[in-house]
Amino acid sequence: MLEPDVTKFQECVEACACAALAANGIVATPASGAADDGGEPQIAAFIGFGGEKVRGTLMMAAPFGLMRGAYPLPSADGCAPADDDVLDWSGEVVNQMLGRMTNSLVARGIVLVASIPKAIQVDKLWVSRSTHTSVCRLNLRSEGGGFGVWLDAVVSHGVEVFALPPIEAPSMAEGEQILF
Amino acid sequence: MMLKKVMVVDDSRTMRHAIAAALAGVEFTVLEAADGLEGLARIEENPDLAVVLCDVNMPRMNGLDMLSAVKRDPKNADLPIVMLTTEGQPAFIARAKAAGAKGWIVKPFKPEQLLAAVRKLAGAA
Repeated sequence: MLEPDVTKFQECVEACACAALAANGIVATPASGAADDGGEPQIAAFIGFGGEKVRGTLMMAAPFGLMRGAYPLPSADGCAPADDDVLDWSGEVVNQMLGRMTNSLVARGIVLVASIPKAIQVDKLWVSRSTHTSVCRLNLRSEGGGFGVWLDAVVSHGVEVFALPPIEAPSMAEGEQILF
Repeated sequence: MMLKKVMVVDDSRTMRHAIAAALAGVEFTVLEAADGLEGLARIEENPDLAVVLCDVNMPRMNGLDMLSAVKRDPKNADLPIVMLTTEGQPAFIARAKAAGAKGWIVKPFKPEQLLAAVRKLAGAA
């Protein structure tokens, strides 16, 4: 990935992550430094994507308790949502983050195809830098705890994504609908 | 009053339940399927479906392939299918329209908008 794209991808991930979390009822803002997980179990939710010019993985890490507390559906019996439901929803949140990123890159003519999101519970998470891909790491803070968001991406040789000319047909925005 | 049947095809159980919560009640009863293959089977079993809401990115069979498979059968020609997905890429939307979809909604959906769209399509079904 060319250096100008690293910064632009960082900004893109930050905007998309904050917007996707906000749409799911979580107010999160960029923070400096990784949050201390306090030994609490974490959720790692990730989704892959591929395309002619860009491919990679987007991952979100968050405290399990934070995601459980923010789960959007009421339970019929008043109990906390089941672990499987919290994991399922976390996968959907990272899917929505990637959706926003995908839809913003369409403006540069970049077409991405997403994989199926997956979320797992982890006791300790350590993401190390790859030698051949570019990793943007974003730390977010919310009232309920910290988030980590990683974009690990490869851009085809010589392509500067954010220098590509804008195209005329933008994607639909989140929340928009059209009936044919 | 006979409730109209709406089917939600999405691999996320949370999304299926959120959509069902927005629609279920006095007007609609909501069936669920977790991927395109299951969606095809449910459509075959329920010829009285009023509307299908379908995700795109799913395991086993994605929503666009399910849409094409459903519309290849002439008896489903009038069944309204709306794609409900995080994708907003024009190429995907054009493909869905060409295959016979009746609409495209980008997640996260607005419950009142979704209900209005389903009401409109169910009324025309």
